[in-house]
Amino acid sequence: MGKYTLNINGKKRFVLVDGDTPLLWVIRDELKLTGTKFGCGKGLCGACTIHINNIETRSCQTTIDFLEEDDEVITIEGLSVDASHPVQKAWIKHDVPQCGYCQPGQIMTASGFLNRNNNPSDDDVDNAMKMNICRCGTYPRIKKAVQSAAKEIRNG
Amino acid sequence: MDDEHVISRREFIKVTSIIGSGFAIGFNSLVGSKHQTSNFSPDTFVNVLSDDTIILSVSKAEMGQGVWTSLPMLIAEEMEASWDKVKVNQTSKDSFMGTGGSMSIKDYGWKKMRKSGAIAKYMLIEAAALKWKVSPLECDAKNSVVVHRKSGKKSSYGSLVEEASKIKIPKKVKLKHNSNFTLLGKDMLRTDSKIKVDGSAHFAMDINLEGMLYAMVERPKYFGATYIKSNSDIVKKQSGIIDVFHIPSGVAIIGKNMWSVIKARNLLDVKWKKKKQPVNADSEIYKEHLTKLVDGKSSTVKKEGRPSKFLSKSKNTFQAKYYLPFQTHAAMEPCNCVVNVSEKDCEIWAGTQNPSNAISRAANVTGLDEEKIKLNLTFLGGGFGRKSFNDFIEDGVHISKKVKLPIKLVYSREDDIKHGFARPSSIHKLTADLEGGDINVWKHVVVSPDPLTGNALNEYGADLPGIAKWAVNIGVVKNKLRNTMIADGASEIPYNFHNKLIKASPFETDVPLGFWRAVFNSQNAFANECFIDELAEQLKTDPIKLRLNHLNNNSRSSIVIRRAAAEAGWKSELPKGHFQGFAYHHSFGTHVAQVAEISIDDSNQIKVHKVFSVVDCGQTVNPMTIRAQIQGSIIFGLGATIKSEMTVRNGRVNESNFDDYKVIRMDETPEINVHIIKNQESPGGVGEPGLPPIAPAVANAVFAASGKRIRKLPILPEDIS
Repeated sequence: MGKYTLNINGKKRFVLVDGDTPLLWVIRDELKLTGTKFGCGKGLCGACTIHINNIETRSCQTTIDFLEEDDEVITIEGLSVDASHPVQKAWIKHDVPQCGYCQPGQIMTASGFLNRNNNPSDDDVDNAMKMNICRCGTYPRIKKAVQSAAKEIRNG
Repeated sequence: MDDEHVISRREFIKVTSIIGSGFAIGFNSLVGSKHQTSNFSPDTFVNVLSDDTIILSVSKAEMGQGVWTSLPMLIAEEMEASWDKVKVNQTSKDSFMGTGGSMSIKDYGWKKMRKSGAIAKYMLIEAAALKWKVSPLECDAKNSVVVHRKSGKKSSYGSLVEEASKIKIPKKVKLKHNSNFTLLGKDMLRTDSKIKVDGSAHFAMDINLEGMLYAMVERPKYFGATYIKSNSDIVKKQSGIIDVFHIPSGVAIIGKNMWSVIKARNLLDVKWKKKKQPVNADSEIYKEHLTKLVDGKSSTVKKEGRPSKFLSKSKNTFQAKYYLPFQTHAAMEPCNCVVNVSEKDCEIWAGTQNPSNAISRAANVTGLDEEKIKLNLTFLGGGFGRKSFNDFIEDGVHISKKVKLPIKLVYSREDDIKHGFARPSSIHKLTADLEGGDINVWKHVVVSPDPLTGNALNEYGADLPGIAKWAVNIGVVKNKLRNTMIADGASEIPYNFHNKLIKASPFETDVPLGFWRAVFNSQNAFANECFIDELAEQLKTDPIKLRLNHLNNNSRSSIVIRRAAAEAGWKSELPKGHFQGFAYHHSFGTHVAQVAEISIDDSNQIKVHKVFSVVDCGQTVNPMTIRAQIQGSIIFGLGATIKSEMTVRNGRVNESNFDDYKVIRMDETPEINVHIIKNQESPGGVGEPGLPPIAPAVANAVFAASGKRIRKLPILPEDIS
């Protein structure tokens, strides 16, 4: 058991956990930020995706002792105020969610990827988003929403 | 003409506010002092507040199918409510029917939701008329405002709540004719999107209670195995672990947080006593059994004409057998619940498709009356039929009862895949008499266990609805029920063959079985629609033409089939190496025709490029949702067509996570075009009917591309080479 400091969603938080605790469970159980979802525990489905220093990361595969104290962690709750990130707006506009369980992870993957490439081809979108599973089959609308968000990001 | 509907006294209840700032209409199951005195009760269908906000409660579980939008639309349409003033709430009351079978609109919402909206409108108009001392017949309601036509006086709904709460519930109401709908049939954005994109939507796993502990359950390694002993002493000593004990379904590990439980569970070693003679609990043995049974005796489910006579005399018969494997659901949210059992009561937070069963199981475990069990229905992170079974809730109740504290129980993904309730694996033998150059006899023998009455049911304590329980208790009815169920999608096909014979042969297995999206329609449609494609080849005719030959020209079936052919450009030139396949199926009151366009690469991998899907689900509620449901069903079904398979070896499920139970991902998703036929037929379901045609459409396209007939799923490269 150790004391760890996290820089999460722009705030400093202290937690007392085992060093091998995946960030997923630190975020959900200790910090009670429940938007980040548990889906597979093996980094296969992407439901637990968060950003570490703007890069989309599987929180179920990243332990707390792996974090540097100044690493910036962003969860779905910290992505924007009032769902105003272009990706979130596009998700609402294109009526993407069905059950909604995988969507925080999908949105964190999409927003992370668009940070690096705001003019993606359809293949780029496929390659980035194929890391995240949706069993409701919202993929066709995700595809549209990612392109629509990219456009908004490009146009500032 | 408008439909007039009688309102039974027992049906609806006015829920009056004691402080006079709102009025509400609920269902009669809500009668009780608690509800009658509350100003805003989320357990009612319609709540009008004095600030004009209208809160509409949804009693069906929202698992992605859009009931948080479609059911309120039905109320708002009849109520003439302003949609932008509508807020939606979840209620767990009145959900005894459960959520499944594509019934939320078809059998439930269409009448009941609309009636509650019509009652609310009636009462608001009456209230305004009373206030203005005019006849209610001189008043109209529109956009949440009552208007007196002659004087032009206006009152918003919010300003009428006090008077409206004094009006009696009408004896009958008129429902609007479809041609007067202003909201139904229009694309409406979902009401739950914002909370689902900002992370604030609550699934059961997101509920946190003061002093709550975390739990997982290690279930038997083999189906039907029983507990002997475990090394619980060692596991109990692990950091963060509170207790380890045996419950009926396995060994529960309780800890201070999820991670402690997951880590400690890795050290748990349980000795199980295997069932002496496991019944068909191995894919190979099971398949051998299917193969043997399909040529043996079976019971008749449906007979038309004189099929046996013609078949015995025919010199031109054609036969094919089709095999489908087990499938599991793998919803993104593994089963989970939060439960707090005290001596007096029991409160549950869970996403379940079968709430009344959850309540009765909790009452059984705790010994409390059902009235003392409070179930808070949360969003479901996908259901697909899996969450009709409340094994996980019963486990949660056992654990909370024992530790006397609130607990959160979570299934790992491995628990979810290994301990689910699978779609039965089945075999189908189809035989046709083609004498005279047409389909003279159509015979379909279905061999499959059924999920409701098999061994697994008894082993796993999955409870039946009352009527089925009664039926099963009477031996004769048991077989009839089973035959009817496994022949769903085989017995009622719309093709007008003169002679039809549909037979079924159920059997027992220890593999726990359940309902999987579209239930038996997924298996039977595959067999039907691949077979008719094979018959077209035998008869040297176009497969779409052959289907149309056996349908009335103006039937809803013909219309969707012709439209799909037109939309997809059937028989028109396609990109090089692309081929099309067709399938049609009617289920849950909805007709769906699909054309799949595929190519096959050098390593025999199938790529599905496009799917055209034409849907006739009668009067539409929210086309935006219908398209989403059809797209989703196609993608879910496509997994079972070209990727997913659950296998059983030696009484255990082999697969464990998304690395070996493979599902469709973004890069494998085809372009999906959904076309909805506009008509005013009564509404059909949309959550499932899009699924059955995709597997046969792809299989038929594989034939077009490779000349290879597909008689099993999933279609793997080795099946094409």
